[in-house]
Amino acid sequence: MTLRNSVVALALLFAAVALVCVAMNLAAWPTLLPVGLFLAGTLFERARYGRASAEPSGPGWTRTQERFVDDASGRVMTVWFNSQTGERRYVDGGESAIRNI
Amino acid sequence: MIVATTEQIAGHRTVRTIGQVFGVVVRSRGLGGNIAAGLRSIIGGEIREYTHLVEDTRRHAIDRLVANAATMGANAVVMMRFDSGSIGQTMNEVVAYGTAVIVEPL
Repeated sequence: MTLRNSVVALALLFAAVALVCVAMNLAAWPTLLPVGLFLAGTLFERARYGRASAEPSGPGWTRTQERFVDDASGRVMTVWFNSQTGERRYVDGGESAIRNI
Repeated sequence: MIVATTEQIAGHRTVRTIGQVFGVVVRSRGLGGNIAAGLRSIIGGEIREYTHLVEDTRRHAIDRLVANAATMGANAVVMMRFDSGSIGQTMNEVVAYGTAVIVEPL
């Protein structure tokens, strides 16, 4: 996360410099395009797939025996499956991995 | 839904083979993630940004595999395998495939 924060800070710095350049000379507006793209691509990066969600309720949901350690949080995740819709959901199992490898 | 890498599932017998099933997905990190990964590769060690990417891609592929198998009426997928590749320099493609079957406990 520290490295990503550094990249975000760099993108914000570039954006600030680009805005100053445009303020000094309007003809420099094209610099805003790649800088804006860099900033947007850094700030609005899509969240990771399969984030932990609350334990599902409703018909068709069952807890499977599949468990894994989420590498980002170190938490043990349990997989729930809905036999009616075929959907799978990841639920925080309430425990941390013994060791993060 | 049981997803197994073996042909047989312990304690169960296959009563019907429905057919091949797969789930495929292509994912990429955003611009910030790719830049961070590039910077991290200068120092070396685990590139966490890409570890997260390939792990997320595999989970997404399995979820699609399971959804497709459920649509086919299966309650298990046997002989599940992954196949992966890259598209361009930053995109990771993963397909999870197997045989959709109906099993019952012995």
